[in-house]
Amino acid sequence: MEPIVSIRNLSISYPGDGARSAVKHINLDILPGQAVGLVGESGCGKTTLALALMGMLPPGCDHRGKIIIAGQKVDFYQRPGQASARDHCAMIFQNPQTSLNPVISVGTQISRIILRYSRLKKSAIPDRLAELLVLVGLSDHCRKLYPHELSGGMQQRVLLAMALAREASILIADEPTAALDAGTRLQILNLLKQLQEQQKLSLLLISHDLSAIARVCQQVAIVYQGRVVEQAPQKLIYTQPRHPYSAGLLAAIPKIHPQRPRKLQTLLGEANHSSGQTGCDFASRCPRREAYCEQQLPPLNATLEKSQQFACFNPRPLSAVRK
Amino acid sequence: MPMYLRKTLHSLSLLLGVTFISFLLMVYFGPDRSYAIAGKNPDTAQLEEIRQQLGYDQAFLSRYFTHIKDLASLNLGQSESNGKPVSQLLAETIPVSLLVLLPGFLVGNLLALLLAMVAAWYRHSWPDRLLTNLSLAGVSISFLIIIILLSTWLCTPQGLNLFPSRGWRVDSLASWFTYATVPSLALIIVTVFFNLRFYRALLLDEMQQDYIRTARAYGAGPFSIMFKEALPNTLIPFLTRLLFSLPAILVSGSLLLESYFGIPGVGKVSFDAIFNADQPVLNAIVSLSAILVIVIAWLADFIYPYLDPRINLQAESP
Amino acid sequence: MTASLKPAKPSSRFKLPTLGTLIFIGFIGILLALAAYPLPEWQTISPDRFAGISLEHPLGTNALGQDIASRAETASWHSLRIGLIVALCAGFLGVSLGLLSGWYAGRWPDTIILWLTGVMEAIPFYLFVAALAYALRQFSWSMELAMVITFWTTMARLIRAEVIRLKQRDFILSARAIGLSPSRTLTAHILPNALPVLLVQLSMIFIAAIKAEVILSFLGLGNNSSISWGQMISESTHEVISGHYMNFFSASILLFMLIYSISLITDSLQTRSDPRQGVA
Ligand SMILES: Nc1ncnc2c1ncn2[C@@H]1O[C@H](COP(=O)(O)OP(=O)(O)O)[C@@H](O)[C@H]1O
Ligand code: SF4
Ligand SMILES: [Mg+2]
Repeated sequence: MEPIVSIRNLSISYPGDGARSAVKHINLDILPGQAVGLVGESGCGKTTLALALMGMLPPGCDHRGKIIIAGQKVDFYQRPGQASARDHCAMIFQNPQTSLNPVISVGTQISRIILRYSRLKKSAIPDRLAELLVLVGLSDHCRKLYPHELSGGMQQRVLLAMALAREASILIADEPTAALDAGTRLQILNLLKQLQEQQKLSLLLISHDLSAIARVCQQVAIVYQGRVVEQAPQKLIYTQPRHPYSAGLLAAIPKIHPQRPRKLQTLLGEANHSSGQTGCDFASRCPRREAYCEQQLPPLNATLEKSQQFACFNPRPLSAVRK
Repeated sequence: MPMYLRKTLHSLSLLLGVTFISFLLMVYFGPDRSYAIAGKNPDTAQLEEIRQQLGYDQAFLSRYFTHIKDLASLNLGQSESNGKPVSQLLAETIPVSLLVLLPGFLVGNLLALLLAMVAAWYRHSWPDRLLTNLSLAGVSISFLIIIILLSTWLCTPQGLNLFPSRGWRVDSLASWFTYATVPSLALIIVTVFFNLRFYRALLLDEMQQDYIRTARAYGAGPFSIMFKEALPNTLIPFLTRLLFSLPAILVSGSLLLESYFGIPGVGKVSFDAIFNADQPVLNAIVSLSAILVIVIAWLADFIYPYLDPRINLQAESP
Repeated sequence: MTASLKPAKPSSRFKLPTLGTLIFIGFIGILLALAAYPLPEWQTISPDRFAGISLEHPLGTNALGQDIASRAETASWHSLRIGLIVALCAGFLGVSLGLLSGWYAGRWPDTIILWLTGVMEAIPFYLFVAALAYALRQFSWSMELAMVITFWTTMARLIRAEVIRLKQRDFILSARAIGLSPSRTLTAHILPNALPVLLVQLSMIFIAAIKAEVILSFLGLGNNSSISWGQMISESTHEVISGHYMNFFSASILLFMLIYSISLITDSLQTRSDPRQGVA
């Protein structure tokens, strides 16, 4: 199958950051109807990648490589309101509270998008609005409410309804559950999964939380300091992470297998962003580091099973994998 | 205590304050009017009688209450320079001032808002720099200089000589244009310079909010982002500035504009009253305009919930 | 943000003088040059009416044959004096009341000061200043006094907000915890941190006072003991019609130079303390 999104060798640096890039040589494909998860600590460049997909990078960014969406090249500095490759994408954001206009009722906010993207007559818009509210699990009286009258979970549902109103085939969700409490988080993730399957959306789900990704995505990419360090089907990442960073992230999840409680293991240290270092970015925190790790940058290699790629000279052996 | 009650009480306390200050300055420590009223060579009995009529023999507090009662009933006394009742004087001159000032004031504010939108949209690039630098230079030019330059250019034989340089004989739209164009232009220029940077800062603040990013992600164009998304969020500070500068413009702006162009409005009346120490007129204008400011502020509190649903006047305030 | 005991240091990197400082230096330069130049007294009337530019009268003379350069110089010192006095006195009043009301925020001193601020702001200040200045005109400081009484309010509001903001910072809490007295805490720790806001507002008062003085003296409500830009402009309104511009230009250009340079300097100060507000 042809990927609907393909990111090729994408590097982005913010103005004034010099040699330090927020995104480094990223290659990523999303197939139609596929849910891809992007995982990494905060500051690793996830949002930057999402904004690039939307053509919404802040002005003055330096970028190399390209993004192709549905056969069309993305213009990184899209002028607002202009038709483009971006029209295939809808995006929902981390903080639903601030992402909605506080002085406009949510019904109006959704209706504006319906009006802009569907070919419906004006009179048909209230019906479409009602339909969307049902789809995201909101009761009809919500249309008259203002964002501050809704809970965080309901606000995120409104943003989802806006995303559906856009009639896009690709949905980018940037940490959609980070601002929500645990119970609501689960509901929103389930809704996301349900909508993705029902509407046959291609989904890029961004999170710093591997367990959230696990519920929704088939394919997972692990990002460290702007680089994809491991990329594999969700099952493989969970059962046999090869990159030490992936293993660390996985171990940081308190209870991935409730029946077998594990000791909480956390990643030591913090990402160090010194530019100009030659070796593996993760070397300073890596438990498996060897002298050679700091000589050269490990490339993203395919292993014997082609579906799992990782950038490590000394990967975790397959025997160490948890059963 | 619910918010609206607290705000109302606060406004009432401010009313007491301004009436008290106007009482102290204009009435209690103001000029003794008995000699002026009594005419030449009054005898003590006559003076005593007049002083009684004026209430000078009353106690401090009871004089203050009389002062409030007079203000509330618009019983403002008579002008000392021409003997007309002050309320009649104001009724004649306020409409004139509104005709001179209101159109220019509104147009100037709207123009400033539109230009601020342009500046905020092109923030930090040349249209923004041009507009903000121009307005900084503009506010540095005294209102006076703008009036003189404009009237020399438009109203004198040295310039285009299109309009009369003084006067006010307005009974139709055409005559309004004849007499009000130049004052209005001056007011528009000053209003734009004065407000542009403030409105730009308001809009710029909004442009950095997350909901604008959402709107951009959902295909909103420049017009839509400015008018439908950012503007509704700036309505409260915008309206506040508009409402609160209105009394200042009406009283202080007209002082200069009307005395320069010889227009018989409130400004001209206050100008004459200051020169003639016409205490009843001054007292009425200072007190009433201060009361107007407080009443406008109080009313504005009741409009705000319609502009921002997050404001709740029923809520208990701390 | 990390709390620091000192106000942010301006960057020590050498910068070219800004337009604002250049114009201000130009303004002061003109004044000093005029002061050094042998000019007649500003009041001196001579038969030499509407004289052109000459060595004796570098800017010509007015309708009474008075030397315009001398009048412009005297008027400039007069304006600077009024601006400084009003800014310092109103600033002092505003800062003191602001500190007091911020420190006791929510308690009765605060309530009273806020109420007073609200009352003063409701009174139309031009009219108030004009009426007061004119009523007290025998008293030579009447105009300054009237302006000080009305111009302190914004300063008080801003300083109050700063005190409330800073009071919760760690370094203030620790200063209070080790038993520093309120007045020491306010003057030694809070005031230095409120300095950017204070300076910006001081120069705003300076500008407002000078502008108000010009308009009041134009209207004839000013202080007649000295010549002022407003009076020069007022004289000039009759003269421009007959083609004599020197009075008008010398007063209005000096006025513009002073106000514009101070505005530019203030603006860069403001941009440094709050980047969103400034010109770019
Ligand atoms: N507007 C910006 N200007 C400069 N640097 C930025 C900007 N936004 C993000 N960055 C930097 O780029 C890096 C990646 O940020 P981001 O994409 O937001 O990470 P994430 O979403 O994974 O938390 C971070 O180091 C951050 O400091
Ligand atoms: S390359 Fe070396 S340092 Fe980097 S992750 Fe692999 S083992 Fe660790
Ligand atoms: Mg992010």
